Amino acid sequence: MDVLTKSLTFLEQRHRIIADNIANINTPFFKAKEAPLDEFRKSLADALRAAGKTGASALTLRSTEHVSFGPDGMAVTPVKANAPDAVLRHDQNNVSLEREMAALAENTLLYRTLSDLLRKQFMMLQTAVKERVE
Amino acid sequence: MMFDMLDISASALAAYRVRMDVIANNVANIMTTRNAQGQSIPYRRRVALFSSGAPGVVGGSGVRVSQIIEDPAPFRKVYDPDHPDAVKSGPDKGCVNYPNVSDEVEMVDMIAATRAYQANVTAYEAGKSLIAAALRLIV
Amino acid sequence: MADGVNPVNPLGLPLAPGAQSPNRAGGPSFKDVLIKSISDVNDLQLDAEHAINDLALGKTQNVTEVMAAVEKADLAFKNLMAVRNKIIDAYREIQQLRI
Repeated sequence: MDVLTKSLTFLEQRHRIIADNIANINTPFFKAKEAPLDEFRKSLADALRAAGKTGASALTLRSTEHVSFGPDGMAVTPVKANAPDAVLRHDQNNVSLEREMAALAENTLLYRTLSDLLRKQFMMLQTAVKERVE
Repeated sequence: MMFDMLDISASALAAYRVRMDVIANNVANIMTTRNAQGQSIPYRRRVALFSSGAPGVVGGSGVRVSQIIEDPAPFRKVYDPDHPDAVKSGPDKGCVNYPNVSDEVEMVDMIAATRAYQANVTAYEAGKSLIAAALRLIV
Repeated sequence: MADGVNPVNPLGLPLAPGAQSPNRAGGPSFKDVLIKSISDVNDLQLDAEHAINDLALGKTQNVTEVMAAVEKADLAFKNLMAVRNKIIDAYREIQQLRI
């Protein structure tokens, strides 16, 4: 369950970064940013492995360069996107609308899938608590 | 606090709205040879400049209209000595100064602004669906 | 008694004690069947958890399989819960018998 809540929090931040890119599609000198997905997934995988060894149920994730886990929650710093097919236009803006819309769709679908799965987990716990099969 | 992701897209919608208004104003005044006071000063093309970072959005995200400037490009000159606004003397004698607005440029700008506006509407809707999905967690 | 619990089992869920009556000599006892069922349900729950982790880590893009695994675990658990409730009801009924 921790896996899902942490992933959902990260995807929420990722949405902000993508929305910022889309908002600045015509802003001169703006360079596209992206969320450090690989960094986050690596942190998550390490935490899962550690929890598997100790048998703990809660995950403790290690802060990395762009993703920090503190008492205030998760803080994600966007990294500069380095897409090899990015075009630098005359106003020094390199945001590709197609790429950002595709990322937006993927992020939204993944968020909805993971949140549905989390909801399913809650419902399974409810079945156990109620001792009644609905 | 999830709702600030909607602020980013909302700032873009507002900014592109201003840009579209400026473009529409340019096209409306494409033949305006006099200003509001009735003097023979033609309308100058206006451009809305964007800059990243919207007021009220944490973290410098979003976009805002930083300023609306006038295009310093020269006016269009058309030789028409009978026009009441024709220049009376000098090297341009007999020419009328028309606004430095061109249909094609404004149309292309308008198409780009519309496309960006629609993209940000999509981003706004996506943000709303994220929040709705989170609310559905309450079983 | 355990035979009549799950006559239909299209998904191949673990609680299928089979045609053997647990009273027949040489067959698995009801206790063994129940313990195996609990272990099978637990395995399905672990499978579902692994599938969810793989999706969250990006190791798989197959959402269908993840959803199927989660639903299987859920159904198996509900099945086990229904069996457990029936057993408790039966036990109470026996307690009420006047000898």
